[in-house]
Amino acid sequence: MKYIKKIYLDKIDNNYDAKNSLALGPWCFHEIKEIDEIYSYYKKKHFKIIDFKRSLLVKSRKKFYKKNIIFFAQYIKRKNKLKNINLKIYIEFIMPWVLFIHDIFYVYLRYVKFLKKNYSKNRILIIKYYKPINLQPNNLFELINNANNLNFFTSLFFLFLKKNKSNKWKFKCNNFELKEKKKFNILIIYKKIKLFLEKIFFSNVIEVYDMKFYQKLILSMLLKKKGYV
Amino acid sequence: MYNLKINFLDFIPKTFFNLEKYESELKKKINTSFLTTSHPLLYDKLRFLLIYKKLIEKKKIFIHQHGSFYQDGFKDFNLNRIIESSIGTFISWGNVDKKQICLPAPQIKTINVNYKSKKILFLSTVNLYFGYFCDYSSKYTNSIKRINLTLNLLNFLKKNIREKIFYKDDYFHFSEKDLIRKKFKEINFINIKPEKFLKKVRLVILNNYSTMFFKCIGGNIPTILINNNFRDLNFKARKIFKRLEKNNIIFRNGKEAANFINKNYDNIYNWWNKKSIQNSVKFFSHNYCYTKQDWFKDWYNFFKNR
Repeated sequence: MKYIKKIYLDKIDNNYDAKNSLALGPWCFHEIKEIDEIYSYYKKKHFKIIDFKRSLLVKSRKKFYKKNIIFFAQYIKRKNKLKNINLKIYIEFIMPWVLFIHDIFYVYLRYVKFLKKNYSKNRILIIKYYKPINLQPNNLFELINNANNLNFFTSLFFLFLKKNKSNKWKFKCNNFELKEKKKFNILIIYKKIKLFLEKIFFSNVIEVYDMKFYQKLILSMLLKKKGYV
Repeated sequence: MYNLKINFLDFIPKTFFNLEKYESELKKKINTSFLTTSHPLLYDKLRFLLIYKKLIEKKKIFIHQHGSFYQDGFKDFNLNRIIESSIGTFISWGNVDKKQICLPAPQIKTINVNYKSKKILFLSTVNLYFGYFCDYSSKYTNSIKRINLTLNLLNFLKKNIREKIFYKDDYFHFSEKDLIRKKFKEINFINIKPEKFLKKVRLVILNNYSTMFFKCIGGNIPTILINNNFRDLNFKARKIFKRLEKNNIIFRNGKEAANFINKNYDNIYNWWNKKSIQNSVKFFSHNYCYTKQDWFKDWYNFFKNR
């Protein structure tokens, strides 16, 4: 393992020098270098790609779920004072979150483990280019969306490294704002109106892709009539 | 996990602490069952209400498949599938698993292919620098392999055929569009929903195994898939894929695919309508992306007779 002085978490700067620095991943060169050039850096080991085996991930997920689901469900139950809601409901409700959080952390924490294993004895400056974001999600959907977001990933990483740091590591954050495209357009407004109308007319056929309005209405009436099952 | 200091409780979504605000909605009596795809199940309010209705009021929840990697992937790998099967009764797109309910997928439509058209639709997918998703496409190296495979195919295609290509990329972390544009100036790029373009082409080429592949095969559209990584498919699916490979619908090598297209471009109709090809297409569709012209009749009868 080469001796390095700097680790770039999200973007390299003008002082980047491949001999003495490590870019955490290919994203550090995004919009600075062409994709074929970035790939040539991968071949030269200018950054590290952490791989994982499917079978080990599944095994770890099962173990994590079994070990923690009751604890998390009890914790959420304590925080909500709802009557007539038993633990089983909370278990089912938080299950997707437990599975997703495991998978997200399983992959991302491998990077932390890699750095700890290989560089904990080096004097290193760890540099984050963009301003870290708030990591507590508002809802599950936001967490899943954020999981592939570069600034979420590197903010999470920055936090983990700080919490699990070696005495020889120093941290620097440049706090640049990351300009992200605002997803506000006519399509979103249309979708919101569509969902609102659907909720009124057929509240029990929530979403089936490519099913027409009248087909949803017929199935909705049928489901209501049958009541069941 | 890995002996690192992590407090998972810091990452619990805020909505999980405010479930009390849904209490009034829980009490509303609804004399019905529910039908949905997996996507809305990720909305906390809806998931909480549905689970309550199912466990307390014994209502039935039907969950409809929303894309690929269900019966064809490993069971314990697809998170959507795990979540869906635990919350409701699953309605599948295909007949491969006899224990599951299968109804023809509304998303998949048979299309009258315009063989007079000269156009070829090339469908690419998202490229990622990193990812937590469990399928192979989430890895950077796989994105690069896919791009190289695409370049290899385009390189060996005749120039007059490349001119007919309408390339649709899907930007996420990064796109190969600029690289392709630089190397092959004659290729056209489009930015519309691929489903809208299917009627205008004689052939679809994909460089990724995805829901669009299901839509093309299920719709009986002449399709060629280039892909050299099927390791996330289960063993049963791999056998069925071998059959498609034998019939030159799937190629693992860009050069071979290009040679095949160069040779058959003028006779796509004859190739696609060969008995052996049509049998393998029908076999695949029946197993993974079953479709029917009057699909709604099956849906209606299913809910009526239960």
